[in-house]
Amino acid sequence: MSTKVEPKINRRDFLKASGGVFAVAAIGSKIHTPTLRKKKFFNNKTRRITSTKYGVCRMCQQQYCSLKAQIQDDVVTMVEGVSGSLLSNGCLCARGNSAIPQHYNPYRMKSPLRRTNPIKGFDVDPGWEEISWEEALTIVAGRLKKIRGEDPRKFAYNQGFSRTGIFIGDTDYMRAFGSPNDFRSNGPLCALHFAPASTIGTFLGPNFDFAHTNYCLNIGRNMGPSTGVSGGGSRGDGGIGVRYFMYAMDRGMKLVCVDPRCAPEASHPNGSWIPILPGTELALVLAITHVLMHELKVYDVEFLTWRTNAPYLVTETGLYLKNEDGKPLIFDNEDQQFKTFDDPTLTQPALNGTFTADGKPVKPAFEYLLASAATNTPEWASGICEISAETIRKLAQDLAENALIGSTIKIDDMVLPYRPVAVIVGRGAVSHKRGVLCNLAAINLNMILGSVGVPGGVQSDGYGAHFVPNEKDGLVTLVSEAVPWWATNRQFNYPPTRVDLKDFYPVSHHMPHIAFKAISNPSKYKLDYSIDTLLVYGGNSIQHNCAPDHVIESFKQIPFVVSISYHMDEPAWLSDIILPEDSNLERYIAGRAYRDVSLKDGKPVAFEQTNIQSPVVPRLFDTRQPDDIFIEIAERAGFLYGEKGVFDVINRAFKDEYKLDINKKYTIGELLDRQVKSTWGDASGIEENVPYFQKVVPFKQRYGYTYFPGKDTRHRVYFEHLLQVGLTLKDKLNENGLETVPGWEGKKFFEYYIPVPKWFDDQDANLSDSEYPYRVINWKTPQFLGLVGGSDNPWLYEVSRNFDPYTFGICINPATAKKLGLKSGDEVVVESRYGSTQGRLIFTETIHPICVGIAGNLGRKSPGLNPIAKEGPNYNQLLTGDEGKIDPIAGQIPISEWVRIRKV
Amino acid sequence: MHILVVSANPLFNEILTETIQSGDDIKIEYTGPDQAVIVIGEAKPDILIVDETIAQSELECILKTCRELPKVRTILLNPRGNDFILVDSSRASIREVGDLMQAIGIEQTDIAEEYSNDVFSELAKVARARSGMYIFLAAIFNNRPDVELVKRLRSIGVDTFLCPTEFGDIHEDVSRGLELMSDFVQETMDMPEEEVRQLLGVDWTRLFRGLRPGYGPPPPYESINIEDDNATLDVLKSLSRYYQLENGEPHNRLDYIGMELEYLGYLYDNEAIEWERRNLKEAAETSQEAMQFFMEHPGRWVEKFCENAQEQANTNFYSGFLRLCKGMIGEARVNFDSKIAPGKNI
Repeated sequence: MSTKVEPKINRRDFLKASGGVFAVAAIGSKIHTPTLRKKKFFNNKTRRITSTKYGVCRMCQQQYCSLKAQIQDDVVTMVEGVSGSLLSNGCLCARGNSAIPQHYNPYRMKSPLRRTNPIKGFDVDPGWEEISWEEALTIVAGRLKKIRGEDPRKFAYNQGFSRTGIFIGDTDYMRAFGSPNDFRSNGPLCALHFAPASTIGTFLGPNFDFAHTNYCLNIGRNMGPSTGVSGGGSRGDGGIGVRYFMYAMDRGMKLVCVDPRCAPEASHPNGSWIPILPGTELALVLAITHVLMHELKVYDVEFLTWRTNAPYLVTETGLYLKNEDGKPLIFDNEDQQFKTFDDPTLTQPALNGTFTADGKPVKPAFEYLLASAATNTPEWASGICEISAETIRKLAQDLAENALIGSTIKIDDMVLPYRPVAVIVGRGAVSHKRGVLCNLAAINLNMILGSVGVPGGVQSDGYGAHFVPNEKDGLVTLVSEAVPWWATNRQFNYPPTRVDLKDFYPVSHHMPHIAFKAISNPSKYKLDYSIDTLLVYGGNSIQHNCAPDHVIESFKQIPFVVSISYHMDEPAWLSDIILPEDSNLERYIAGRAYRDVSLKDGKPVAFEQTNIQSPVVPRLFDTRQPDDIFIEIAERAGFLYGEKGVFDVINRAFKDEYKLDINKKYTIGELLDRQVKSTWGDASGIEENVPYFQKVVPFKQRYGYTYFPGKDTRHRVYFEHLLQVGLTLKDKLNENGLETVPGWEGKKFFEYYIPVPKWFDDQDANLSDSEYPYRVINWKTPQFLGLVGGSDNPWLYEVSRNFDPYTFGICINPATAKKLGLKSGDEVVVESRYGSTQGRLIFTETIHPICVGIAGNLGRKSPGLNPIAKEGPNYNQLLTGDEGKIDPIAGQIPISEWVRIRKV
Repeated sequence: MHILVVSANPLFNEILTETIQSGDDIKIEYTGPDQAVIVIGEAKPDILIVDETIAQSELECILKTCRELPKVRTILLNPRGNDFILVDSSRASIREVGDLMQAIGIEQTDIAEEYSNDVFSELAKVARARSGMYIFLAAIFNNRPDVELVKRLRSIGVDTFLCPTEFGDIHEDVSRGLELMSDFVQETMDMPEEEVRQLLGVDWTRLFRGLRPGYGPPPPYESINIEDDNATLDVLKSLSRYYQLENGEPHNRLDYIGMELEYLGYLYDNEAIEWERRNLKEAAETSQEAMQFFMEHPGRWVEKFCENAQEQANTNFYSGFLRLCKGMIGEARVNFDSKIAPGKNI
C-alpha cells in the first residue's frame, strides 16, 4: 500500500488529492447520471453552422402564422414569417418574434416539481422540490385512478386558450376518463358565440367581407390589433387581420366605429369614431332597427321572406304555430292557406297580418319584430347611449343606402346578391348583461338588410357550407352553444353534473367564475359531490376571470391540484405537482385545416391550409409536449387503451386508413402525422421543414349563399329557440323544487330568454351609480393576450413600453381628470364595488369622458413570475361574476363595471 | 498478495476469479457480506474487493471496519457499472473497470513508484484530478439529491470531506466549504434519510433551478450572471461552438453552471488521455483549450454566482458546497492568471 498522502503538499499535489476526494462525494450522484465519458461532447470550436427550419407560430391561440427560424450554431437567432403562407402572408407580429425569449427563458419550468409545504398561498413558500417524471406521473396517475374508481366527477380539468394546438387533452380526454368537468377559463369576458351559432351556423362571427363591403358599422370590436395581427384572414373570430382590414380600407370601405374608445382603426381617413356609453349598445342597435323598419321602411323583403323565419307564424305564447308533424307554419297570401315552411306550393309568404288558427290569433314573426321596434326611437335611445338622435338616424340612413338592396354581383361563374354593407359587433358591445340580446339584435340588422352570407355582407367563420338547413324547421342548423347542454347531454340532470352548472346555464359560454363558486360551496349550487383533483393546463382562471381572490381561495380548498405549465403562473404556484411543458419551438404542431380568405398577388383568394411543425430545436430542459403528458397519465391511470379509452374516443379524427390501433401507444408526432394525412392524403404528413399544406379554391365558396342559394335555407331573425330554452329550463327547475337558478333568487333571469331582443329595465344592469360615477373599459393589446409567455416575456414588455403609450397605466379623458383635479402621471386607485387596482394616469382624448380605460391583462399576482408581469393595473380585479350581474344566457361577466377614482 | 472478495453473488466471484487469475503470489478468498466484518478483521487482506450491490447496512459496516484498517486497500466494485471506487482510510477515487488490474497491480509491483518519475504520468494525474474535481462539482449542480446520496455521504464518512483541510496551503473557501458539508452530514446523521433527502432536494431546487426571480439566487446560467443584459444568444452561440451533445438531450441550457463545469472536466480528461499516450502536442493544446474555455466562460461568473448563492442556501451542505466551488474556481483562476501574466509564454 504505497499511495500515502503526505502531510504537506504543494498546490499541484493538493489538486490531485482533492480531485479524488471530490470524486468520492459524487459517487451517490453518478449512479443516475451518465458519467462524462458516456456523454459524447461534440467539440468543434471553429464551426459556424447556419440553418433554416420552418414551423408554426404558437404565440397566440390561433396558430395562423407559419414561421421560419434561423439557427446559428444550434441557437435560434431569428424568427420571421413565411411568404407563401396565405394565413399570414410572410408576416410575424411582435408576439411571434417573442418566441425566442420564450424558448430561452431561464425561469421556465424545467422538470416536474412537487410542493413540500402543504399550506398554499401567494405569501407562502411552497417548498418546491424537483422530482423525476416517473415520480410525478406515478403520483398524478395514482390519484386519478383512485378517483376514477370512486366517482370520476371529482376530477376537474380547467383549460384555456393557451392549450392551443392540443390534440390529446381536450374534451375527449375527459370523456374517456368519465368526468363531465371540463371547464375553460377562456371567454368569460367575451362570450359572443350564442348569436352566430344561432343565426349563421358558426361558433364565431359574423365578420365583414374585406373584398366587397363598402360600409361597415363596427360596434365595440377591436378590428385586428386584438389578435392575429399578422394573420387571420377575415375570419370571424376577432382576428380580422390588419393586412386585410387595410386592404378594405384602402379599397374605399367606410368604417364607423361605435365604441367608448377611439381605437387605431377609426383613425384611418375612411374611418370615424362615435363614442358611446358602455353597456348601452343594445339601445343604439334597436334604434337603428326602428329607423330602418319604421321611418325609412327599408328592408330586404325578398331575403326576409325566403331566407329567414320572419314569415313563420307565432302564437300568443311566443312559440311557432306548428302542424301535427311539428313543422312551423307560414300563411300563404296567394291562396290564403297555412302551409309548412317547406311546402312546394308556398308562393307568397305573409310577413304582415294577423290570422286565426284554432280560434286563436297568430302573426308572422316579422310582425313581432316590427312591434318590438316601434317605440325604440332614436330619441329614446339617445337618452340611454348619449349618441344624438340625428347621428343614429344618419347611421341608419347610411346603412340603408349602402345596402343596395336588390343588386347582384357575379363572382367566378355565379351571380349572387350584392349587399356591400356590414354591421359587426365585438366584445365591447356584447360583454354586458344584455350582451347576447345586443349580439342578436346587431345580426338582425344585417338580416333586415339582406346582407348575410352574400358578397359585401357579413360572413360566417371562414368559408364553407355553414348555412346547413334543418329539415325539422327549415332554419340554419343550430351549432355549438346554441344547442342546449341537455340536448347534447341527452338529459337534464338534477343534481347538476358539472361544476360550471351547464344544466342551469344550458346555452352559456365558459363560466369559470361560476365553476369556482360551486367548487367552494357545492351544496349551495346543489352539487352532490366535491372536487378532489383539479388539472390545469393552458387556462388561468385566476388571471382571466373576475374576482381573482375568490378563485385563489377555491384553489386552496381543492385537495390536489396539478398544473401542466410553462412558467410559474398563478395556478402553478398553487399546485401540488407541476408538469413542465415544452416551449413552442420544441413541439410537434399540426394546425387545424383552416378554410379562410386572404390576398394572393394583391387579390382576394379563398383557400385551405394546415400549418405544421416538427420540433425546430431540441428540448432545452426536461420538459414534454403536453399531449405526451396526457397520454402517459391516461396509460398509467388506465383509460388510454381499449373501447372508450382516449385513443378510441379520438379515433373519429382520422380517416379509415389512418385509424389508430386502440391498444397501441402512439406519440404526439405519430398522431399528428395521421391527422395531417387524413386531411391532405398519403403524400403529406409531419415533415421536417415543410411549413404547411395549402389549396386555393374559387372565391365564390367564401359565401354561404353559394352552397344554399335562392330559397334553400333560412336564418333566424325570430329566436323562438331561446324562448324555448328558457321555458324548458323553468319547467325542469320547478319539477325539482327550484324557483330559479341558484343565486338568482329575486333577480331577472328568464326575462332574458326572449325571441325578439328588446331593452328592459333591470336594476342589476343599472346605468348609473351615484357612488361610482365612471365606467371602466378594457381592450386587448397586440402584445399581451394573456397567453403563455406573454406578460413575462421581456421582448413583448419592451415592445409595449416603447410603442404602446396606453399600456401599463390608467387612461382617462383630460376633461374628466380636470373635474377630479388629477394630473397626468398621478398614481391613482380605481375602485369598483368588487375590487380595486392602482396605476399611473395617462391622459387621452380618445376615451369617452365617463370611462376609465385599462388596457390588456396585466398586474399579475403570481409571485412565481418575472416581476415585469406584475406591472400595470389589474383590470379583472374590478369585475364581478355574481349571479344577477352576469348575462343569464351566455354567463358573460359584465366588462364595464362602475368605478370611482382617487389619487393615492 | 491476499485478496478478499465480499459478495453474495457467486457470479461476481467467478468473474473476479477469471479476471484476476490467482497464482502463487496472489491468493483470492471469498466471503459473504454477513460474515465479512469478522473475516476482514481476522484476515486483514491486502486488497478487499466489495460487491457494491450488497445491502446498504452491510456495506456501511464493512466500510467502517476498513477505515480502521488503513493498510487494507478497499475497492467497491459495481457489477452493473463501468467503474469502481478505490477507498482507503482517508480518501477515495473513481476509476474505470479497465484500470482494475492496474489498481490491484500497482500495489503488487510498485508501478506507481516507477510512474512517479514519469513526467507524463505526473501530468496525466494532475489533469485527471482536475477532471475529477470539475466532474464532481458538475455532478452536484446537475443532479437532484436522492436517498442514495444521503446514504453514501453517511457510509463514506465525514472524514472524507475533512481530509484536504489538513493541507497547509488550502484555499480558505475550500476548507470552510468542506467543514460546512461535513457539519451537515453530522447534524443530519440522526434524521430519517428521506427527510434529509427532501431537505437537500428543496434547497437544490431553489438554488439551482431558477424557478422564479427572487426565489433563490439568479439562475445559474452564465448569460444571467454576467453584466451584459442582452448576452443570452451570444453566450449560447459561443458555448455551442465549444460543445454540443451528439446524442440525447442535455436537459439544460448550454450555459448552465453544471454544463460548463462538466465540459471542463471532459477537457481535462482528454488532456489526461493525451499525456498518458505521450502526445505532448495534443495534450498541450487540450490544456490550452481548457484554460481558454475557463477564462471565457466559467471563470468569469461562477465565483460570483457561488458567493451570492451561498448566502441564500438553507442547508450547510449546499452552503458548504458553493463555498467549496467558489474556492476551487478561485484556485484555478490563480493558476491560470499566473500563466497568462504579461511577459510570460503560455
